[in-house]
Amino acid sequence: MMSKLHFLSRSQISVQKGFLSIEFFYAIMIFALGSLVCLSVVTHFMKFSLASSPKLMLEANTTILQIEHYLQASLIAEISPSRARLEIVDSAKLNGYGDINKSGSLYNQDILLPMQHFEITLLNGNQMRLAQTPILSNTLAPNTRFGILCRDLSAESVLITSLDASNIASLNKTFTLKEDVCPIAIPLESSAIEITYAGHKLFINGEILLEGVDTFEFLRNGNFVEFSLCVANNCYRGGNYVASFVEFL
Amino acid sequence: MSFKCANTLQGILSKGFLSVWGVFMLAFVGLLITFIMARSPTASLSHIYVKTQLELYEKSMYELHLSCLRAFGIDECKDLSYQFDTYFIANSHAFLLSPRVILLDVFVETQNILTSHLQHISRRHILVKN
Repeated sequence: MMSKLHFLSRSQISVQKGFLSIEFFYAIMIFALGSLVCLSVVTHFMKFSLASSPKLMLEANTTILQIEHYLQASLIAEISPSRARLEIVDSAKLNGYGDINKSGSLYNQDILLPMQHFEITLLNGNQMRLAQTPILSNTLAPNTRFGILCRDLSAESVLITSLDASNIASLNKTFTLKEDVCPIAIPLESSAIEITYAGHKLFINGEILLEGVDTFEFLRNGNFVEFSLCVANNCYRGGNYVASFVEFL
Repeated sequence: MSFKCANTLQGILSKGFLSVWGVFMLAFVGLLITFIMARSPTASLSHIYVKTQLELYEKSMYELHLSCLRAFGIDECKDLSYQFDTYFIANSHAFLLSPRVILLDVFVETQNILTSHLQHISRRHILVKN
């Protein structure tokens, strides 16, 4: 069997080498074509072969992620089994981007600075003043909302009604506590977010988030808010920590 | 019969040729499987799974840095990094905004093994010294 190879002449070998490159080329084309066909067929059938409808599953999962995101971004959360009212932190002012009007205020030691200071230097009745530094701007302005955070980690949202010349803001609430007990003010979004469940539908601020929900329930366990929802006989659970922005060392 | 078949095959293909076909076969099957994985309906679910995992590791990293700050102070624990589960890389950085307020930034990233997308999460926490 092996001896047959000895009878191959030089020309026969060169012909074989030529065939090699052609076959090489064909191999690429055939496998590329084959893999494309297989790919489309398999993905097409995979959609039907999954036990539950992937689209429904994905919608429920996206809803869970969305609710988890809002829970995580909230500073103040009022939770009842079918309703959650969340005060969301203004992430632009918290995470930074600095103030374009002040030179060198975007970064400090490679860190993106927040827009404003969080420390309260004066809290007396319905008056509040924030700490000032040359690089951070003062975002205290009428009709902006802040969450005032105290040492027991309870927070209260306030609305600034007016601002006087010495940067002392007037609040719509009166505090009996002083700034040493409530030392932090965090900027909030202009309106709260409400997640409600009514009539087999989930709503966010009155707009439909998910339809065809069989059961839905919020469950608060200290700092952790858990929720469960059932869609088309599939039940999902999600949850996240609320009000986890501030910690006292 | 089989001997005759093998004989003609040997005539057409040399041993090197067969291995070339083998390599191609493996490469294309591998590519095919990765494409199917990346485009399958389960890929989007893996994104959600990784997102949840990132949230949990962010929480862990935050608590790790917090306990470091409580034990040693800010001078010792400015930057921390840790690798969770070999694939999840977490970094945290503490910055003294004012003598009483510390900003703690936590960043966790990973590469989704199924779809090879980079997924990451970043959070800022405010810490107040007593």
